[in-house]
Amino acid sequence: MAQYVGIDLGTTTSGLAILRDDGHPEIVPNGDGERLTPSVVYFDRHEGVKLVGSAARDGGDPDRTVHCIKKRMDDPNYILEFDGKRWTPPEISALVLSKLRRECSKICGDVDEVVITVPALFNELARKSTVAAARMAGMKVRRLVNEPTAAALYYAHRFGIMGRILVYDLGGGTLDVTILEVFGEEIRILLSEGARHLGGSDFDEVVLEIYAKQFRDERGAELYNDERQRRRALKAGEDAKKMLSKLKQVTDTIGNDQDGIARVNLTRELFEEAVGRLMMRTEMLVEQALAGADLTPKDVDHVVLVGGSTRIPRVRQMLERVFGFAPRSCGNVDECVALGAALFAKYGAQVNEVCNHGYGTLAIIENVETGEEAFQNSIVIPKNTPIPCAESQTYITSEADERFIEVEITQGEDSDPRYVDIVGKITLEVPPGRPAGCEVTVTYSYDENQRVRALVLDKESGRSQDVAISYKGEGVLSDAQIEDMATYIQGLRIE
Amino acid sequence: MFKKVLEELGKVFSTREPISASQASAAAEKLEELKQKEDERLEKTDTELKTKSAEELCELKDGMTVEELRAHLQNLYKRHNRAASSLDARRRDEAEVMLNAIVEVRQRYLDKAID
Repeated sequence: MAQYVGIDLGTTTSGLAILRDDGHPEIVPNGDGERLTPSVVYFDRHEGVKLVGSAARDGGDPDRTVHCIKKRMDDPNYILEFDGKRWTPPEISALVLSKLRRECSKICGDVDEVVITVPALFNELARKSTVAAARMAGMKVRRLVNEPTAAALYYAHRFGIMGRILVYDLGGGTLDVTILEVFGEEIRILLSEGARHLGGSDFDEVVLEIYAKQFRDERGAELYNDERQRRRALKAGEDAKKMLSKLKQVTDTIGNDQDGIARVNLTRELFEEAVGRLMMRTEMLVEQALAGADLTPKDVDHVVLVGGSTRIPRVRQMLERVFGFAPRSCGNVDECVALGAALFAKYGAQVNEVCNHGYGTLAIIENVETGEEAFQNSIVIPKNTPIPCAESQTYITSEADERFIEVEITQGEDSDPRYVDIVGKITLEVPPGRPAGCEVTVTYSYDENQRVRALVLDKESGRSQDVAISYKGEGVLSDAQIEDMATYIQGLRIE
Repeated sequence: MFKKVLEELGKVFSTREPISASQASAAAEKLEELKQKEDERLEKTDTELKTKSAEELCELKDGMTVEELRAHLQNLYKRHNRAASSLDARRRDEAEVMLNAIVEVRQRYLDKAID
């Protein structure tokens, strides 16, 4: 049995790595001989088989093919239906994980317990969904770890780099920026920031728009009229994007059955101009991370690159301009998250992480000096607090004769309540006849897997209630549903 | 509804008299009022986002210095980058438009050339 296993469940590709006896991590190829498995699932109608990976990506009815399901892991209402059966994002992710587990275990032995990586910005629901997906695939999750953290561990292991490091992780669907300190065998995360819809797949869409315009100009028609044609064109755009990391110009022919083909031309300059806004957003996230850690670029010793999209030359140029030195690449930037996850499976205890989100409650905050009142999000656990942790805040009730104390649990760092999510609510029944001004303590605790519990304690009555944050929605599975689905999936034919 | 009293040094219990019933019920209504206003705002947002310029969306003020503008855009970026992961789909949509507006303003006014 493989003892230390790490999985990078990526937006566009996924990988599984193990820790060898010599202490070095190694990627385990899938049954198709690929080191990375495209995170694509095809629901075959005729044979009932679920294709996962390149076969799913490259063939089959696009209306029955699911791409980038990771982008939906935090959507409690997202459901897909095939042949009368409804599938939630964690269930579809479980198919990807099942392929990895089944095929890789033929090489490395049974895979029962794993470390799985997630983007730093993944919220509570997305993390729970990831753990549920692993359970349905027959694996227990030893730890969830943020992708930049895993990658940093790999860089530290492979290159021995020490000091203050900024990890720039630009993958298929998200950007994560993490600042951490490595001293000896200890890693301390200072801060993590993330941006969604900012990854290689978004750059591919930009190229698709360029191609579509060039086709329209030449042929007077639309480049694609259905999803199959769109997917083919998107793949051509992705290939062009990759070639532009090595060449300054790419020429191709592209078209469809109805309107013929057109010659398209893409220069690196045109591509970089087209993705300029996306690139600026990544630069602003780097600035946000530095500001959040109260650092300047000069305070960073190393910048390391993670994710295939960091091969884009403009990424390196931007980081060199900001920091004044070239960022470091390990070469296999697509694999370092999975490799780092395998290392984390053994050495995770030496990594000190931080809260990825702030949690609080809604309250009327009064400034004693000015007397001004404002309805605000009152943060109890600030983002980037070292974990595990527990923090409390005491409030006074604003109403007399309250029978129920209601605490809205918020997730987010903004003091403006419009810009935070209400992710839960605790209702605590208290005795009648109380005046306003009774003290209530709200305590949040954050565990090492970034899971949050909330406790409300009424000082006067001594009553309390605590909950783990849970989500409601069609796409949110109960424990019983997860167990049932695990049995179902393990009986499926997955190729 | 909670009322929390802040002093300069952090968490201190209030010594004020309990607020009156009329104030309490007004406070208790704040959340519902805010939710309703926000629902109305987000309903209108789609139209506003299409008709307003990037400068209007970013609420630029006349006479802003470069540093003030940079700080303002960073604050906006932080807010809307977080909102892009909101559980509310309307807020996510708004965030995407705002992020593009922020970048547009930054590129236009701060003119930070990317090599």
